[in-house]
Amino acid sequence: MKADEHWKKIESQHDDDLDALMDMRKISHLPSIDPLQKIKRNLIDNSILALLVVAIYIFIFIKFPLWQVRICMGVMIIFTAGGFYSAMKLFSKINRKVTTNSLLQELERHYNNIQTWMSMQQNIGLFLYPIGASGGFMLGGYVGSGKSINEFMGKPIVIVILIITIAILMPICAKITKWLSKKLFGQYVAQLKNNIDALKGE
Amino acid sequence: MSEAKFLENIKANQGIIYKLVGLYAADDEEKKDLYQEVLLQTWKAWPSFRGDAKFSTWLYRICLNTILTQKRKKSPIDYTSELENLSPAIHTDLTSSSDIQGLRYAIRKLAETDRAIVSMHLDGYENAEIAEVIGISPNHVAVKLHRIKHQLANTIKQLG
Repeated sequence: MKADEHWKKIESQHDDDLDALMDMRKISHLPSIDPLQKIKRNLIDNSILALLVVAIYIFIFIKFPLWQVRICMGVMIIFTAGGFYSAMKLFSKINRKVTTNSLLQELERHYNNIQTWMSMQQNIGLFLYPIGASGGFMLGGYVGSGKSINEFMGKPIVIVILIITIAILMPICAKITKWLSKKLFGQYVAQLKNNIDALKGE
Repeated sequence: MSEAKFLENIKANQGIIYKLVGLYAADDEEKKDLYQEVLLQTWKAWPSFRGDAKFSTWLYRICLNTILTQKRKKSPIDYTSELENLSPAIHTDLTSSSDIQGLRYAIRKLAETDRAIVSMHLDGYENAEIAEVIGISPNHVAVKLHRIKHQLANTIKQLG
């Protein structure tokens, strides 16, 4: 018997697990395991969190009329709003439906969307967290020491500590975010890239 | 188009889903996940099916696009236990089961994208049709098929 005949024979076999799903009430309610679906859910969660965080920053901005804290909060609000806008842009760009594109186009679409999400996460890790930490540092120092912010920040040692804190936090936050995205999607991205390269190569 | 028509088409072509998922699923759990995702994506895409292509070709495309864009486990290839692990609920025609098992094993040993190409070829699709579904040129398909056939022949020969 030739290979194509064997192959066609496989099609005539059946599987109880697949047979059990042949019911419209089940099909239309199946949960999706699509990675892009997970990314979309993550973008929604991040956006809700970003809105809450912005509300807190605005509260701090109004409550503490200190120019140093206001600069930090202002920067944080701009960065967080920028992050929110990018997340929404990516959200609307990701179409979860597997389209009738060619396989290569579908692989590239998934790969590009995941890469965009990963670099977005890394930018957040690089800029947002350290700036937030420095705002918190100043505010914490001001509230904790009971001194005015000018008195508290007036000591050169405090400025040095703040700079060191940011210098240490920036790479650490960036590394942790990179590691987390890799842990979540590293193998998947490699799998997509492998298949894209395999299709393009001889 | 109606749910009844969709289900009728899917049932008539469920062998395609069974066959393709069987080439990629690493274990029984992943097989069930892939069945679900393929059915869900096919249902979501159903309104875009206009009937200008054969349903089987359209389903083939959705299946390959869905399976190959999922986050999957690294697939272990073990000839002796592969089918038992993968689908304990398969009803096989015993007279040719070892040949069928051998063919499936040989295909599963290929690179993921090569499995897609050879499965379409074995199903009788022309190089131009395969090229359209996969997204590469017909010449490129021909070159790849030549190499894939060599690999398949070698693996099957080794199985003896």
